[in-house]
Amino acid sequence: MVMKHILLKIKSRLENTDMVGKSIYGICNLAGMTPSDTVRVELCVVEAVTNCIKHAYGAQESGDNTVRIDITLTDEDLQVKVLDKGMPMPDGLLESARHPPAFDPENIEALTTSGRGLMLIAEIMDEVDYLEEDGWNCLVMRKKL
Amino acid sequence: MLCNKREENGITILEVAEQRIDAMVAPAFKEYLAQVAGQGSTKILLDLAVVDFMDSSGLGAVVSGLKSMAGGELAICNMQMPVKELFKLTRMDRVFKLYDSVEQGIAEMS
Repeated sequence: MVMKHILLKIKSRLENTDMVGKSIYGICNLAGMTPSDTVRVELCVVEAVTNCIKHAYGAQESGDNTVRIDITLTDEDLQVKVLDKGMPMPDGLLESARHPPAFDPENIEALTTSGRGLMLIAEIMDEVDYLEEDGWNCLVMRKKL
Repeated sequence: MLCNKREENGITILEVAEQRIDAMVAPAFKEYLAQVAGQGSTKILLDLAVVDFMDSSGLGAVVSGLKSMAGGELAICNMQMPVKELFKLTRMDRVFKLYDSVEQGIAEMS
């Protein structure tokens, strides 16, 4: 099986997320993904990296922390690990993102203005796990080709 | 500048000038929409023709804009495929009126 690998490292700053997004977009094209899957996977990775910057490292705010994006492409799937050394994601958050609450589209007042990032990841990706890897918090996302 | 603003048939048309509406841009975008709503616009048409990427932070800013209109209308037109996907995945295509063009939006909202 052919296995290609690339590791991206960024400083924990929001202005770096577009470079990550564009890189993933290019890799998804290389993998032969459909245009729809390509933009969906780009969205997931940007959401995951943004969560690291805003939530995992949010309280530290130095902007000198590192977010790693570890990408492996095989004949079968694209695996993206997004790693940080900040605050771990609260227990149960990923599980609850897998079951988004129903909402009434007519009830504008009740609409939430945040909290959709992880739900998008859970819906778009074929597999999502959250674990600890060598001292890093690690969100693992897989999309079948 | 985040948006170019003009009025037509009582509708405030906001032509977004940023290609990416992500967490970097979302706070200013949210504030801008609240400001326009606060100036008394009751019908806003958001033209997203140049926006080729929006994430959940950007979407949150748009939802916040709708909420700040207190019963007013906020519709969206000229969405590129990635933005359409985001609205579909989050079911926000059931909340917002989506139009293919500025002209169609104006005709329907007038």
